[in-house]
Amino acid sequence: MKMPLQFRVNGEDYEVYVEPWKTLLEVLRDELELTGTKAGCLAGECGTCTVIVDGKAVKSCLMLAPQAAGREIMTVEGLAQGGKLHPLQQAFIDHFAFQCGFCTPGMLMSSKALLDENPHPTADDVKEGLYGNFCRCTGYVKILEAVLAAGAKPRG
Amino acid sequence: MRPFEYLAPKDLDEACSLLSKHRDEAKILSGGQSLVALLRQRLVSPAYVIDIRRVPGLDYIREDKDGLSIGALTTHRTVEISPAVAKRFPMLAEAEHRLAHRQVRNWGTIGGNLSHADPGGDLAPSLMALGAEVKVVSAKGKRTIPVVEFFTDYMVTVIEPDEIMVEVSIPYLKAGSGGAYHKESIRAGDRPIASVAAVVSLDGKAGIIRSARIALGGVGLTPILAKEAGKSLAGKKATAAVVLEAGAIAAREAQPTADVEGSVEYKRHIVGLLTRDMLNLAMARAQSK
Amino acid sequence: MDELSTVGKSVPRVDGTEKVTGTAKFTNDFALPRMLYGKVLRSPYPHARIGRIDVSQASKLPGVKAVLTGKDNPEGRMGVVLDRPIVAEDEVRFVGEAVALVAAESLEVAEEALDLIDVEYEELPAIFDAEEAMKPHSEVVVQPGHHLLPSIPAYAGHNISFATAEETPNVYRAFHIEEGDIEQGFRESDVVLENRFVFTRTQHCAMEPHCAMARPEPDGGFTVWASEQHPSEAQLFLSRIFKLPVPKVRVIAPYIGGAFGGKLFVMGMPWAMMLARRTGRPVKVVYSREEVFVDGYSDVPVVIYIKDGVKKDGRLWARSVKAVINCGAYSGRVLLLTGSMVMGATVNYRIPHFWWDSYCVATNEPVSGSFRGFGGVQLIHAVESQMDMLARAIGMDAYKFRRMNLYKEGEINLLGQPTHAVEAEECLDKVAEWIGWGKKPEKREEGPWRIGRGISAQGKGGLVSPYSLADVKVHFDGTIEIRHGATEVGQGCNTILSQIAAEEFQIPVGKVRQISGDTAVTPYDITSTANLTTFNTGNTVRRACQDAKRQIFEIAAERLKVKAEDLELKDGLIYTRGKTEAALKLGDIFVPGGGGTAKRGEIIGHGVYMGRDLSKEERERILKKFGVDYMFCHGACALEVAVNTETGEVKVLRIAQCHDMGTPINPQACEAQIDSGNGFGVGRALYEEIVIENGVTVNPNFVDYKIPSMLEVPLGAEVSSMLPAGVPHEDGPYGGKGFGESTNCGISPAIAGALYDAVGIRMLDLPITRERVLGALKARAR
Repeated sequence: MKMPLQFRVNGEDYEVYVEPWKTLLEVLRDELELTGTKAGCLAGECGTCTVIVDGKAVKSCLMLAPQAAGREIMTVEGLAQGGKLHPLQQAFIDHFAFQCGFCTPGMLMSSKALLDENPHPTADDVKEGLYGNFCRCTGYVKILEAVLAAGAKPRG
Repeated sequence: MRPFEYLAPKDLDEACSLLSKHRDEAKILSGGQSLVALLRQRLVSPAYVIDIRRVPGLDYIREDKDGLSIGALTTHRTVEISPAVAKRFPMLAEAEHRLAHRQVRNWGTIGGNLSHADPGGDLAPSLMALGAEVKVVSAKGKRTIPVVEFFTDYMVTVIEPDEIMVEVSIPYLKAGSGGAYHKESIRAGDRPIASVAAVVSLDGKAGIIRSARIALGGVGLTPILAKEAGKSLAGKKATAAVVLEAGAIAAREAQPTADVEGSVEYKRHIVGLLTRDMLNLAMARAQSK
Repeated sequence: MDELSTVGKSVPRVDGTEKVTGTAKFTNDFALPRMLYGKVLRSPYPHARIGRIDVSQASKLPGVKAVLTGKDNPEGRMGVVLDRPIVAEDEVRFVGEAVALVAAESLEVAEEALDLIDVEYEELPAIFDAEEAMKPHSEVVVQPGHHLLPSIPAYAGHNISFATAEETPNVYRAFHIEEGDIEQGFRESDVVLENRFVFTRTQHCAMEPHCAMARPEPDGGFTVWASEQHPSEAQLFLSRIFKLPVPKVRVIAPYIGGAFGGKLFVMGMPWAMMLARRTGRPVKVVYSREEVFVDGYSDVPVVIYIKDGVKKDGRLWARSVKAVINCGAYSGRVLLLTGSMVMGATVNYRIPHFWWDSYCVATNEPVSGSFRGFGGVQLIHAVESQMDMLARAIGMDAYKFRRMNLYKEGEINLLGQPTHAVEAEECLDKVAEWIGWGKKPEKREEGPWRIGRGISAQGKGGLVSPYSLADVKVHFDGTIEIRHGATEVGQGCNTILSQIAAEEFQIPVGKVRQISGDTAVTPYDITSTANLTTFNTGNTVRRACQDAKRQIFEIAAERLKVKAEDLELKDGLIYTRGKTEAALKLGDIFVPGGGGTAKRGEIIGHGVYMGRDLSKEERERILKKFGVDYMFCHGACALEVAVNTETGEVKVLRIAQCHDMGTPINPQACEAQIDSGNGFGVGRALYEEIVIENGVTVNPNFVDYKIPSMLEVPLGAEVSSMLPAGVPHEDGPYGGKGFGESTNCGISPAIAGALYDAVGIRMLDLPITRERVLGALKARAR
């Protein structure tokens, strides 16, 4: 029952054989061993499994793996480039915008998609982009600060 | 999730022939934002999942002569930020704005949302009030169904097992008309306590309501067209009392059940308030045009 | 003290890079070759006798490797008094109790197998209401004979007695404290006010669901990875119930994705071990979100009766409290909470006449557990709501009334313990100033919205008498390795402990490596709970560092022919006091190659902390009153809400909190803990409750159980998380102490107060849902 699945993840081409009832989340975590993307509720409610698919933030627990065929996926593991943290990652560290760290990968991917679309968001823009990501540790205060700080930097 | 066979038709014809072959044993997958959760909980266990996501030609927003046509595979996010939607039907963009979260809107489609037929869905009330229609196709042909006739029971529609929704078409509002939608929910993106869409057509300078259509979400087994509330306004001068009365009628037309969003009484109360507010907003928009 | 180099600075968290790059490993991120997936069949009945269990169909399903029932249990039991079978045996006592276990090659097969297990149940009468269940001669007895069960020694210090009478068989524990003469106190009071507060059940909702993975080892033992707040205790506990020598159970707690008191019960671990033992293969058990809700040891439902007497001049004069605590079907930490909860009424205000009774009552609801605040959310809501009402009754300002009744430095509180290094007054002043207390809000209304302000103060304890150990290993290159049994649940303990070690060795934080929560390597630590890690594990790490330094100095002193006391260590260099040129490099005391030292081998410092040094008199006083020694952390909250008079919706517009923490070891991390309380507190106050109907949890998911998102909490300039000046605690490491558990407790009463200010309604129960608000508004209008 396994079927081939070709897609691009964090800039690398993959071909894996998966059962079609696996979600993108399961394939990323179990087949590609990219465990940065988290499973918090498996019902599309908590946002910890958020990845970027063709430029859009989506919940990977609600996407069947075959739908990812031929698409460009980015996970938290793909954010840092050449050993250098992405400005959002640095901002999360600088602003103490994580605690337990379980929501952080999803939070970062929603933020990345947001900044790609809207490089200098307002606080309201950030809230709109991130309200599908729950965090139980931070009260969201420092997450908002971090995303605004990353968005305030000139981007080249 | 229980195992199933995954089928990915290349085009609409192939999708229709697969559906006519597998009928009840198959489920259509487009964005999967509702279906995958149901599969995960094993509330549905189809033998076949027919993924129409890559079927070409169903992802568009088109300004036709008489109305706006939206392909069934158009994502919520596309509708939400579409300039055409903003220009023609701001109430629809407003409905999309609080549909679940951005991630869901990025991948979920309007065809999937309507076919899933959750009574609390954000799109149906506006489409009902606007007099929209959906087009469905099958191997046997195509048909057009008014959205008000689309929903028949809790998560059940008139779509036959071999049919696929392909388009939603919404007639443009006439001059002097306006619409508004609001979902009252405990948190942003939650299911509604109640949601109300209102479309009002005013008679120019006279301040008379020519017609009004009011539709309710989340307060019944299906989205509900509050016919009596709409009728109560026709031909009346738009006074606060008339609007309040329409709200009271709509509250009676609602058929809510109690759940974590609220009691029956509270939901009716919210229907009354929202009907008042949406009528007022719709009329203000009608006048500004 | 000299200027500190690292402690007191907001150094970036040491787990930062891992957590922002997705490389931080949580339990579910590990997988092992040949690993099986474990799932749990759970009871659909709140109380039933189990008849025949037919597992034959499930066992035959291809891919199923084991199906186990209560018959396969090891002898041991779970729970604070060892009353919960690992898998139910003769009876089930709550909806969600484990009835059978499956291990299979995939999750899909394991789930399918659960459906094929056929269990015969004979339904028994069940009881859900704790006040009903505690009545004498209750017809339904949740666990006959439970009060004869022994207590377990690991909780020494907590006097878990079963002093309850035979005629109240559902009462697990009763706890009583008194001071003065309560009746006289009420007689002497000018105003007496009595109310009943009802609190429903809530969930921690840590983003990481519980997970445990067990690998059978060739020697008959197990290695168990788990999201577990007390790995050291888990090791002792699991070795006991599986009858294994202690070192044969190795427990590893990787990063934990939030806990908040909910990951303290060896959850999932015995199941994974049973299945691993049967199959000889590694087994992973991951809770679904639904399972977290039904069997995640959620916070207790409590009913609080509180009666207060006050003098016209503002002095609190008498307070009596009765708390009825719904323990659920088996004993959890709620047994401890039955006593600890008293803190919320005893540690911040001076009251001459005091009376406390609390009862922990068994019902057929899911098992209750500990939750951030440990009863503080409920009790502080009740107490602070009373404070508002009392102030009003005597015509005093709510802020001034609180302030005048706060304990001052050195005063002995109602638990017999000294008030020390608390900055309650300053906290209250700071939040009052920020919110503009006493001045009118810019706007009082807009459309249907009305604006109001509320304030609260609070006190909570942190355990200082448990047992924490740590080791510090010094390497020849000047780096050091801390080995401790505390767990990084998000609170930042690894950063705080690194800072303390870095300060001791005068090295940058980057030269400190942590090894934590692995019982094969790390020494015992009671648990990472109860505001205790900074204070206790912090002290322990500091002592271990000092022990290691002493060893280094002794070796160096011999070499240099100086006294050890005259040596100093800074960034890997050993100095003779007063000299600017280093006498030795740290590496010089090691054998060439750096493996260890010639005479003493590795330099490993040991640290032990078992609490403050108490005088005999103090010890007796504390034992007599409460039994356990605490340090106290106080805080205050002020906020502004808007309430919609048509819908009842309440929004928190602005919020300030200020909490004392002694010397803040890392100020920004401290601020983050305060921010954290805002989200928790607003959720608890306005949205969150597990709805249980006839024992069935009806909203076990994030759609129906409503934790706040970014759009439901105030953010940005609307939030101020403040630290007071920072009075060092004389027993804390560098004067620091913990406080993270306190920051969510004071929010609901401030919201309730603000609602009263805005629209004149007094909401006693939580959560303050929009519908309840609207109901109260309508009742008031009538």
